[in-house]
Amino acid sequence: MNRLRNFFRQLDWRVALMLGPRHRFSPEQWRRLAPLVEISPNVKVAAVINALLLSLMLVWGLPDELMLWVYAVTLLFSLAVLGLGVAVWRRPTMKRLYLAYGISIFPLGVITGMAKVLLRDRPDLVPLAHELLLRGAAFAFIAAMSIWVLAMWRNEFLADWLHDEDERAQKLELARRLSSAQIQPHFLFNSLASLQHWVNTQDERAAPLLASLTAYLRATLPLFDRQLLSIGEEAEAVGRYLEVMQARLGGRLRFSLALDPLAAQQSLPPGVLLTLVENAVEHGVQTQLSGGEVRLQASLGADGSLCVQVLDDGPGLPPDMPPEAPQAQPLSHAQSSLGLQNTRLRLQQAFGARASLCLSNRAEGGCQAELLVRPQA
Amino acid sequence: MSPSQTTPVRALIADDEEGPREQLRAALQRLWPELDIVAASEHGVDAWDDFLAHEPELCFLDIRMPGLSGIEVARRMAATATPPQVVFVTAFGDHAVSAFDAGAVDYVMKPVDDARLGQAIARVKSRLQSAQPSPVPGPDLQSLLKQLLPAATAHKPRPIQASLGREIKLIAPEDVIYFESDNRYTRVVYREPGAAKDGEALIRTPLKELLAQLDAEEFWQVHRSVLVNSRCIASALRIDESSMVISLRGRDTQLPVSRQFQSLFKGQ
Repeated sequence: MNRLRNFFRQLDWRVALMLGPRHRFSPEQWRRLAPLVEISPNVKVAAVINALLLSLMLVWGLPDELMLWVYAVTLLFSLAVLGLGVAVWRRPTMKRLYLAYGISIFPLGVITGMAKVLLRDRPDLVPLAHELLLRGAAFAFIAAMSIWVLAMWRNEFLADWLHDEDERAQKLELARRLSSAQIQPHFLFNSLASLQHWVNTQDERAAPLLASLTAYLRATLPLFDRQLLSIGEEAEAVGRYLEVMQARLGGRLRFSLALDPLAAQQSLPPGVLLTLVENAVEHGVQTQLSGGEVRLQASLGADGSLCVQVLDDGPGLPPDMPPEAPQAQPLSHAQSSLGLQNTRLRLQQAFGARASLCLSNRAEGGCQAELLVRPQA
Repeated sequence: MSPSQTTPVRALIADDEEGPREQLRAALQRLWPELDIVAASEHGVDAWDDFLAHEPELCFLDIRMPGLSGIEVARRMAATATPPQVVFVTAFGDHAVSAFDAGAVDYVMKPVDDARLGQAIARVKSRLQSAQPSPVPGPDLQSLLKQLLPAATAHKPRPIQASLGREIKLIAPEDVIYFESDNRYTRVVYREPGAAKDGEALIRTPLKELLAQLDAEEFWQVHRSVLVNSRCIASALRIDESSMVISLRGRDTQLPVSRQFQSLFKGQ
């Protein structure tokens, strides 16, 4: 019973009853589809050869005096049908399909009517008329079917093309957001502000800050060209980032990295660790009057499952932030939520359902981001 | 008439990072030697408290600071009796910059460069001379600043933890009637359900830190050292030109309202 219901649910009556194509496009979509209307010369020539051959088949075996007339008429209709085909190709809509149906079948009706009238006192010609009618019906049927197939295929093709295009645009957007989100201009310019002052005043903190900032940029810029990056390599960039922040914030930031050597060889999409650590510094340390501590730890379980944790001792998650899918957030959280969303998306792309990222409050205070990657089954 | 002709203009700068803070101070000393920098605050809570203590005419506020953000501090300042000129200091890429551009709020970018800071100083000087109010109190800008307020204010206030002998008492913020602080302690007076008398406890958290944690709509600061639950205020009484007191609902206590906060009670 359920299978039957499912079967009918999947049914699209417009298609099943051959009423017409299923996708409708908005004017905006038609505009995007505009570059696709070109028909290649190969297709054009093939269509004309088809029309010539079809007409030839239809006149085969007719009396000689009729043959030329019928051939001319058939050819004319073939060209008309081809013209309709082009129209349907350009815009596979219901309206054009029905117009094409009408034009393929209408002449048949006219010829039948005319034959009835003309042949009233020529019974000897009736078998020939029947023969012609039969061939005409075959022609109309073939024309209508080809246009129907063309309209359906073309309609699906255009819909698929739009869908693919949308998907590609989405991927591009994600890549753009990632590359622009990762090296945060805010971070860079704030670091430069400290650096400039220390250079001006010949403070000895300038040189180590410049060294850390340079190392951070060197480690981070090539990061995003890769699909996957080992935790050890990214921890290098994370360490540099924390050094820069520590130079800027002075005693307010304390940090530690604890990477199990086996875990350090595991790979993650680039930028994941950095995003989690940046979040911890921004929300767990910089918002605290007395500063705070950030800890990054990674370990590999006996079953090969990877566990990465980023811990801070800040104020914890805002009460309105759901641990799994932060979406609509007030402004200051919007940016970090975007970072988290991107991170989840990239983990999903790399590991599917094997990876999970969960933010929670720690019992001893602060926030914990836990990333788990289960081994491949 | 203008303060700049008689006494030097007094300024406050606030940034939670030492480098940018000192860079700004050095640049200001170079470009405006007569400027008297009365405070260099290390975070928003200090900035607010230093403002109350010194009442400077000009404030340079970093946007992202712990405790209170620069925007929150500016909003509080704008509501006082002596709103200062405010120049925001921000780094490139801060989401607030586009809003500032649209709202004609003065801001300078970090690292601060002399040319841009010079322009901001010139604007501030001309406004101080014409005794125009700071751009911050305008209703458009108030709502602009409100939009920019970070989510920190949306945090649910945690209960106040006070030690009473060996017992640690948890007091829900809505039960607090008022906070009053001296140099070392903050006295919490709160409703005790069922008891005839109000409860009292001492906590170590300074008032300035408490006000960063509490909802500013619910708890009104009426004095540098007094924070009152607005639902408990019965009336305000003007004694003379400069002094005002409030009385609390169903209680004999009266609390002073300092001049800066008297504009909270203006009648309608």
